[in-house]
Amino acid sequence: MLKIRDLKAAVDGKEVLRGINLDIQAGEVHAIMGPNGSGKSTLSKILAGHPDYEVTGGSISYEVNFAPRNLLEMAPDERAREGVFLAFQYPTEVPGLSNMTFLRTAFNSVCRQQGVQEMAEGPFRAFVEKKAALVDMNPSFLDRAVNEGFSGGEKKRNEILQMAVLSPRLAVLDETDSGLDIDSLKIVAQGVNKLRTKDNAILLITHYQRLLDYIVPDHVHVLSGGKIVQSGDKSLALKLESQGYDWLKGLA
Amino acid sequence: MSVLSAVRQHLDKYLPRVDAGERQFREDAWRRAEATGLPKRGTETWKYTSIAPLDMMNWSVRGTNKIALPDEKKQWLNSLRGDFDTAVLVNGEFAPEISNMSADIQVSAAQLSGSGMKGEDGFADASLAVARPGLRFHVGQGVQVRRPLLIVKYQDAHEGWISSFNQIEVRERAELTVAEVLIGGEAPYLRTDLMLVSLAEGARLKWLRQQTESPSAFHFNETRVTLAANSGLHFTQLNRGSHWLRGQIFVDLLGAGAEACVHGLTFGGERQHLDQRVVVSHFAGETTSSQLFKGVYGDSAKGVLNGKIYIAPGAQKVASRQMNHNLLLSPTAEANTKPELEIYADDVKANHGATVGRLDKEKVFYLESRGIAKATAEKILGDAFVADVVMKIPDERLRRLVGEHHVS
Amino acid sequence: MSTESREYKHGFVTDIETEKIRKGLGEDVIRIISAKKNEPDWLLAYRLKAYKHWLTMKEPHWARADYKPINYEDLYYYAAPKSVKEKPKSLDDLDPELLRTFEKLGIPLTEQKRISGVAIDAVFDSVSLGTTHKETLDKVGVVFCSISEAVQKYPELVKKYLGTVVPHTDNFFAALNAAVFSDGSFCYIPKGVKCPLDLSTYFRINAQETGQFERTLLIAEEGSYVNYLEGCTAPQRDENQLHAAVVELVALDRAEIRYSTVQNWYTGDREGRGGIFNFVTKRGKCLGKDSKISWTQVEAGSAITWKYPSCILQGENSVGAFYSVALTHDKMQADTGTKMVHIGKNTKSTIISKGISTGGSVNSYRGLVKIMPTATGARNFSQCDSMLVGDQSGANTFPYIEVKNNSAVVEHEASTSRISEDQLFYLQSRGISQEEAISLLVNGFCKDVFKQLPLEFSVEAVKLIEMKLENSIG
Repeated sequence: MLKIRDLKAAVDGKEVLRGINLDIQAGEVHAIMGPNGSGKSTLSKILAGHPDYEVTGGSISYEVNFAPRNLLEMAPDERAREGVFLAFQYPTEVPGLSNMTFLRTAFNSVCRQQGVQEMAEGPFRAFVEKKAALVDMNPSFLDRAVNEGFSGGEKKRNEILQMAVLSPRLAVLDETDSGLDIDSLKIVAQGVNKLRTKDNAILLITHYQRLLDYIVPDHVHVLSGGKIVQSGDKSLALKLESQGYDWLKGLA
Repeated sequence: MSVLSAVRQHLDKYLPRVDAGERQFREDAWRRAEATGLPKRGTETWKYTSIAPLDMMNWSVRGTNKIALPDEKKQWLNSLRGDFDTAVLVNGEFAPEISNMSADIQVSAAQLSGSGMKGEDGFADASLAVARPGLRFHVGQGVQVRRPLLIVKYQDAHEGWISSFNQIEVRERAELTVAEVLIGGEAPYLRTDLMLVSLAEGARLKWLRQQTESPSAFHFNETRVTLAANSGLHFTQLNRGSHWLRGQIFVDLLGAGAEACVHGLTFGGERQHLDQRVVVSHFAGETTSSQLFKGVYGDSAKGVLNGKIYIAPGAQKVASRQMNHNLLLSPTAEANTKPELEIYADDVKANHGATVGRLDKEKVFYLESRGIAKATAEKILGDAFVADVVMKIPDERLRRLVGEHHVS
Repeated sequence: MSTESREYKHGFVTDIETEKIRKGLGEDVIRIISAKKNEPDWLLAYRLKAYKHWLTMKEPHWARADYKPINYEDLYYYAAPKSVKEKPKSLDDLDPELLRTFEKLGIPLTEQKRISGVAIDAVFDSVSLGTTHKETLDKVGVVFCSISEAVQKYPELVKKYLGTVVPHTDNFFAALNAAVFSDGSFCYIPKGVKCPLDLSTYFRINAQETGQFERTLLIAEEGSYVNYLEGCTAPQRDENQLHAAVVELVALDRAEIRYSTVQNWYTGDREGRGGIFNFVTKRGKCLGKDSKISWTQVEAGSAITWKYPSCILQGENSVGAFYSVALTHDKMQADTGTKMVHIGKNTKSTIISKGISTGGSVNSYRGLVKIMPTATGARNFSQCDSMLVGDQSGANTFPYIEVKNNSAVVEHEASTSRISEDQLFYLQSRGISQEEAISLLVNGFCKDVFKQLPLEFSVEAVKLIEMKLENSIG
């Protein structure tokens, strides 16, 4: 579904990604781990198309309607409509815009793109409230402004709610576990697991191993110094947990 | 005839007919107005607004100017009767026949003398000198008024200056919700509206003031609110209409535990000049306040927002903040903002932020990342910019009254 | 706590003869000043025009400061040390007493003891005494001399730019200065030259009852760069002294001027007697495209400060910056800030202001960000923070934001805080004394500004703030 070849990227003129290669197939869960500053967040922002991040080399091919397309040529909203979803590490607040209106506008945009019937207000509300239960979210949140006054955990759960509503094919979760206590972590993980199908894929960006106890990856990659230096299965994550990141220094 | 001459002329005619107390009050206000004079270009608090357009018109102060409320307004009132108690003032005078008050709120005539009301500047005092006493709304101790009170102030008088004074008193541990609607006809009139509001210990007041006057109206309002210990105020001012507007709100927190939220939204278009000033003063410690004012200006409108936080010496453990955001929609619109801090106590939290300009690009990207095209995202965020203030009105019935506003 | 450490260490007086013109202001005084300096007619005419205009103006009084009205007739407007009747050939020719004065201030002027890397122009009362490192500067074509000398040697340059950034009509003190300015620094950096030395002027007011009206003009031609440092001191006296200076900076295409000031004028005693009235108009014009002007200041002195270093951003893509730390104590009153006026396209300005108020002082920030209709794409960011030490002081913030262009983005933030007791305790619990702890916390508060200062200055600035903070707490 996703093929990243020799991806190079810079932020504020500084090179952060130095040649990333990665293949993700439908039905898979990949985890990217790495020390701080390795470029993990940059990768997620590049996939979503954030304007502050500049691609300086390489390519990203994303499967749309069973044919590969150049992801880098697609505007951020087009990527989202074609099933790419980024769960932000620090979701922004949007005072004045209710969660419900936000979700419905996004949902209907995706529907239009996919040629699917849009939903009216009433049925949509029922639809969302069911999804809210997946992340243990009180429906009263839905009429509040997006992320305004939400705690860190609530913001992260809101991201997963959006994922549940938009049903993406490729979900990139950027440090979704950071700042969460163990209970919130479990709720988020459970929500994500319920959304897994054989047709979608998940890319988890994480610093700590504990999220991977709950969302079990098929593949684990270690990002260090802007490159993927090791790939393996979930046991690689356990090795990092017990040995830290130092042993990778020779490999970059 | 200039403003001050109009005032003097009216007083000479009118004063012989009133009692000594009222006469003294008005003469004092006049003396203050004359001594200070009208705000000039150099007057710091009127830096961006000139009184000249007002002073050049030919106002005649109207003591009484009885007219009927137009039918369409009556219909609109009727539609609200189910949810609101209504008090209607037409050209400053109470119209009991179209009002509908319940017993929870005691209504009597407003009292100028003995009120302690003083104007902030020469123009406010001039308005006070000729103000027509309107209504005094009194909610007794412990009374929690369930139905919101709708105060409609309708005005229409060709080149007429109608100045009115009204009071609201919420006694200990009482609660009141008010929607105040300022509307008028098409005539060019000058409305000067003075209000004195007091909240006693533990009292709570939720108040929405919506101003939607015609493009020929001139509007000035001065509102003074005092909060005793543990009382709470949530006030929202929506300014939409009139040709020239100057609002000034003074909120004084006098006892520990008092909290005030003062919010506002101003829309300007055409060649409107809309100036809003807010001063929140913490005279006692352990009080909190928050100000949120937004302005959206298009065409050749000129907007002014001046918000001030004052913390008196010794008022420790105060938490206060003030946010002021402006959007300019056209190349000839102007925004002037002056958020001020005057702090004389050190164990306090006081901060303010002001912005003029475009929408936050992080927010635009957030919407795009959810499949919403950029142009649509910007429009949604523009609407959200405005909706934010409305969403924060703490009463559903008040919110419904506001209707929809779109940023085009 | 002893009071010695708080004593203004620059409070001594130099015992030399001064030549003064009669007290008060009048056309005759101006003609004498002009004659003594052998000025061309056009300059005399400029002074007289300014004087006539000044007579029509009123002293500004909206600054949040209380002070007794200044009697302009009771001041001397010219005081030159008699021993500088004729310009000395080199600084070594100066009256040894004068040299000793500057040495006491830590500013050695004689050949042997020069501060390397910094060319210094010393101004004693209203007269510029000379400049160090002349040969190094001459080699690259940099002109750094007194304004009086510049009027004689480079009249076309002076005539071209004098009064173009701060016209005599600008304000009351600018008009006064234009009429009676006696001396100051003139600096010219030719095209493409990165000035090899930091340039510095030290002002010293010595004579009694004199006003100091120096005038500085700094011109940076295309692609040039200069780092300019200004420092000032004055002796302790009981009556107030007036300092009404004008500084004009002009930056042409791609030029950059960095102007830093560490100001430690006498503040008056603890009861508020004496002290300098510091009323200064400082303005930089980014005339050329891609030009940059930044003002960095550390204000810890003067009884009353009225000072708004400003930038006029006229050239496309030009950048203006203002970094300031203002510390007030006892009865000091400061009303200071900046003005950023955006005229050209895509201009940018940054304002970072930190105010520290202790004792019973009041510290006000007054800033203006003005975006003209032509300033498409203008960007401004301002951050104004106040720190209150003790519960008797006050901090005010009065920012004015005026926007007439709808593509501009302006952001302003301000906050007030105090030295956190928790932080103080934490540091003390690690063995740090209370004074040191306060110093550390205050320096942390100011570090965004200090890092903009050239190294020697930032060291001096930190020491100055620390010295001022001693005894202000508790």
